Amino acid sequence: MIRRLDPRLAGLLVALGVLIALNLAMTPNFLNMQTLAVNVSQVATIAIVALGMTLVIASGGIDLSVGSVMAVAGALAPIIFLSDWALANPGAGLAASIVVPLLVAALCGVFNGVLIAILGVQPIIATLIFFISGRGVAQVLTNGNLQTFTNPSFTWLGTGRVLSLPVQGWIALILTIGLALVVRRTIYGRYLLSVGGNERAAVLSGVPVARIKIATYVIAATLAGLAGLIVVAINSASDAARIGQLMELDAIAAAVVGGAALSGGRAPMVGTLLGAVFIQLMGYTLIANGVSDEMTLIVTAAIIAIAVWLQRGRRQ
Amino acid sequence: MDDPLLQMSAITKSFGGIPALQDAMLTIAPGEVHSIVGQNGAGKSTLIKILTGVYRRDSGTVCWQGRDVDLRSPREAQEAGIATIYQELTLVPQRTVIENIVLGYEPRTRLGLIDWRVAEARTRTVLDRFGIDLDPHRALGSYPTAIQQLVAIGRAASMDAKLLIMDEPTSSLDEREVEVLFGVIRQLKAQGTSVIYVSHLLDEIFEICDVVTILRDGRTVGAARIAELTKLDLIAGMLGRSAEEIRKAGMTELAGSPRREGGAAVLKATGLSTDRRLRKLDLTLRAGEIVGLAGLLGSGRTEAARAIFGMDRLSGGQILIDGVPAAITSPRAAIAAGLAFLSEDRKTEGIIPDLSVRENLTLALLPRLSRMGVVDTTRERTIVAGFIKALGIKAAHMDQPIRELSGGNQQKVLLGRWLAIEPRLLILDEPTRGVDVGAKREIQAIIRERVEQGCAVLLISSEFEELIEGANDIVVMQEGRSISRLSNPGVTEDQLIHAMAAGPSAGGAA
Repeated sequence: MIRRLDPRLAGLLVALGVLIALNLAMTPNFLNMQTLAVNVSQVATIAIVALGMTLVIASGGIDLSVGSVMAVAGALAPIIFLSDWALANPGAGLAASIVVPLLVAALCGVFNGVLIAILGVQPIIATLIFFISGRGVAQVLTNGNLQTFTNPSFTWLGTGRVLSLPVQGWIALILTIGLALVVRRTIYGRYLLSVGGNERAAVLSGVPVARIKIATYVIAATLAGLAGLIVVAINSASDAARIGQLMELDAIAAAVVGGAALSGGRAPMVGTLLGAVFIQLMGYTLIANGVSDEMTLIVTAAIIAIAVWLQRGRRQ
Repeated sequence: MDDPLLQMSAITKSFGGIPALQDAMLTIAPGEVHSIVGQNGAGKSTLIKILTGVYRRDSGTVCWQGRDVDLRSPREAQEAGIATIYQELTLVPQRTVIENIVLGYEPRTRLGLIDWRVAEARTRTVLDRFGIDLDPHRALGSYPTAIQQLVAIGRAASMDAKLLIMDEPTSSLDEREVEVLFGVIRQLKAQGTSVIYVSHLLDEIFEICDVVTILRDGRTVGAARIAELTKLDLIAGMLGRSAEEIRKAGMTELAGSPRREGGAAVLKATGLSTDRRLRKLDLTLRAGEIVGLAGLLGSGRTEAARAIFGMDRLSGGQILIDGVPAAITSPRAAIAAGLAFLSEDRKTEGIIPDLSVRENLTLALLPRLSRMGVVDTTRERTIVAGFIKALGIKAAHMDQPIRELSGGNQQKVLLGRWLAIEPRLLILDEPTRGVDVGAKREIQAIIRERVEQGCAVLLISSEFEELIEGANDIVVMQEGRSISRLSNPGVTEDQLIHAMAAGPSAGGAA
């Protein structure tokens, strides 16, 4: 069966194509494995968080707490694998340093989800609570210190290569494909879109709205936790004050450029990945061509505004 | 007769090569209440949008107050004296009545600030004129929808409109409020203002309108004084069939085979009460039967449906399903018990606008279509294709977003959503409201077919024909109570009206 390519996605692909063509013409050493690897490793964490953000946006909500969840997960991992127990049991220690932070991140998602779906707190307020308190928790965990470490097994998550590309790039790609299938093929995906599209109609049709919302915040928080681990692995250091800072905004930007509607009801996973890639490549292009950092931010913002405006136009 | 206020002739308009209007005409005299009727897709809204400057016509002439005009935007139309009251209110509920009345046309003091004294005086003039009694300093949103609508009409009238266009103005009003609205319309008429009144409810058209223009397939097929027409003539004109043909077939498609006795009671409700205007309802629904719920708006019919379907918490009474007490605490539980509920509010409680026809149709069925959480899309497509054919749903393809469908087709998809779960009890709240005459008969026929197959139906309808021809029993409600029960065959419209108007003592309990 031939599925029509979503015009929003097509537009984004064209924009990416133009950007790549421009780079081929202008940017020195663009066609270079190193350039690719740098860009992929930078965009992967944003993309992973943005995937979860897109699901939350599709449910009609927003999640401001993702950056703080990253900080908590990122702070926990070194504490676990630097503990005496983990040093004695390296294998189990490594596993625990990945699984436990992810579980804690998922619990943060349960907290957000329950506040929103059961207590009826507005998503922006509910997630603001952990946005503020989460980073504090992370700093308390680490006594506010920068933790540095050497643990090659763990840092593989951020520095390893598979088929010459950073491992986190593959993770982002696999998650995108997997979640796109979840949205399209599973009952959860269908329910998610119906909750975001018309919650009252969904309730009347027997959709377990509260469960769907909680699950969505759990997925978003778990993905944020994973991104936190990757950031710590890249740096071989954990800085609770800085991990994931402003990540919520980058993730929302990627989701929106990718075609998510803040009114809910749409979850374009592939679009989100492309949106993240587009923003990343945009910034890289400007910097590589000698535009100052400050200007780059302004131009990137302008491009995002244009992308969003174009998508609005197409919706009419 | 006076010179016409408005004369539109030979109007054509196409969208992407598909003609929406071909040779449409509309002539309106000053001080005339004029209805435009036709099935969905007949071109009513296109014609009105051309008049109000939303669309540009392809050809034809518009003559307004004796001069050929070309209205290029809603603003130009408004300045020419054509005001529109939309179905969806376009005022600002959070602001006061005064602010809404003068919105966009605020009187100014010499300093350029808003002159609230003049604004209030102007508001009071408008309210007095229509006999609306309210505090203009309160937020508009704190008043019922009907009052808000009257304020919107008052606002339009205060801007010296010569022609007021009302599109389904009574869709959210109860009967008393409809009377107030009709009073306002008669007053406007006496002052020489013309009104275009669009409604699916033929009774209203006969009550308030002077002249009707009938559109079919984008053409004006007739215009006549309403006094010279019967309801049948009007329906026949819209459908393009002869009145005789329709008389033979009955006004609705709900009439069934002779009554079968002794169907098992699927649901029995006793003393059902909620905190939401439902006081004490007794109801028995049997397999293969339609039970009608009649009553004025506000009598608790929708509340009864909500209580049975688990949307409102019961404050008293109980529900037996197959003779066994059932705890239906949510729509999800109701669905699991074999109940289905088609809400009267298609837009806010029915469609998921961005999802496709297919996804909308299978929403309630989804748990049965999935294994390990994965939807079996092959089976889904087969089922949806079957329903599209059986219900005569007109869509480009099953993956088309439902928001692009006409109201009647959306309603069929939603009906399909509930038929797909093969419910034992189907609760239908105004299933044919806002649906054109053709789709209405199709929907009625589908309902009848299910009943013949043994489904129990609870039918809430404001249309007497549907209840009288379709229902085995009609339970009449008043103030949240069931006050009497009429049994077919033999119920007449007069009996029903009498029962609805009667005090609770008459007729005895059901």
